[in-house]
Amino acid sequence: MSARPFACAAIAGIALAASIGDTTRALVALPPLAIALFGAACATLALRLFSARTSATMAAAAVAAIALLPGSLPVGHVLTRAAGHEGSADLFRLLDDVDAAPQRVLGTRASVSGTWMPAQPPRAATVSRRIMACCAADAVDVGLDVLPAPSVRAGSGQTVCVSGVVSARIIGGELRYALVRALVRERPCR
Amino acid sequence: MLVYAVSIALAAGPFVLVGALVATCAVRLPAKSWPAAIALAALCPGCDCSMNGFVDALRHCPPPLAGAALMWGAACNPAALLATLSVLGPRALLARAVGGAVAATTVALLWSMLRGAHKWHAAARACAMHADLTERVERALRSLLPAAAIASVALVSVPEPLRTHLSPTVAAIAGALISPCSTADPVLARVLCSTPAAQAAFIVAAQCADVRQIFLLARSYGTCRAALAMIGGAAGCVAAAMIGYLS
Repeated sequence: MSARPFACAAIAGIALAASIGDTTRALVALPPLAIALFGAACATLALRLFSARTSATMAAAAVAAIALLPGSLPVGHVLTRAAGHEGSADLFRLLDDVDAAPQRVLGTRASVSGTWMPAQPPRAATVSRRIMACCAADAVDVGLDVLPAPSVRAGSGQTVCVSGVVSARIIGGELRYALVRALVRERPCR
Repeated sequence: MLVYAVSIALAAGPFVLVGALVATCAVRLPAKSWPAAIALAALCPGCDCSMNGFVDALRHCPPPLAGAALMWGAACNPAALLATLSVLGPRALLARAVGGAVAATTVALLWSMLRGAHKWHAAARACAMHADLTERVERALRSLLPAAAIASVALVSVPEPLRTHLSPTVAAIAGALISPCSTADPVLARVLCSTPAAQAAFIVAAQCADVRQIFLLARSYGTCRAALAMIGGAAGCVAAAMIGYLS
């Protein structure tokens, strides 16, 4: 059986194009160099059976990737739940503490760094961090609601430091943790 | 939706390539070395994605054993077990191991009952024996792309708030459709599923009854065996969920 390497060629073009700039970091957890090497390997395999169609497929896929793939992905639905993610980030540590012993943490003041998302009614403003174990398809944004939504100059996607009192509330049957009486600074927490 | 599909393909691609490279070397070994291929598939597959490239190395293996090895290797490879222990704890690890074992055993039993149980899907066997690395990678990627498309449709279609209220049954369906990497499913299970039973069902379904696995098995072993493998995967999910209920 002989299969024309169109999938090889297409993914080679996409991988090589994505490894330029920030697209790879937005889409996969692997480093850009690994994606670039993978793209080069697929290109080598595809071009072993050199044909004009193979080259054209690769080029077209690369152009489409550059045009259509984003350099960053917006924050989605933020889950206020511990992810068991090992990391030194203050946000993850706070969520782990709340998950393990909520009564000890609720009502205390805490400061966390993360990505700011302004309020979009009915959603509250949030501060979150993205966990991507493999690729964008399994990426989740975990963080806290920020209440009440203070008037801040920070734009969507900006890194901020939010200080507030940890509280809990039920929204649509979902337990959500929040920082209330919050103060937002447009820089990471020190 | 395009972004999700491309991200799945880019993340899985390097592992598919490595699996195909290993398979290209393994097929040069004598036919009597098939137990080594079974052991490699079951114990050191690297990642469930690499199975797409590695499956050709199992061409000399009895299909029931190969099916069991593919099921176990996808769900219970060392990296997946470590990630599960780290994120979800020892009870979830036990549930994953029990679910993977039940799925693998069920697949082996069901496949052994088929007529011509010890024959490879004829067309796939011919391809496996004569393919070079390029053809192997091409077939593996073509098998991966429909699964990536289905997963991206599922991710876009399910309303976000619904994802936080998953019962074990719905969690299993979600895991099967999203088909995350075996090292990523513990994290997803923890944030999407509230109960141990739902978490266990999600992680086993994500590897044993997922669209990626089904496309792989259908390509290599035929539609009938792939359908039976789904039954095995479902049995694994039930077993894992029961362990979750008991914890």
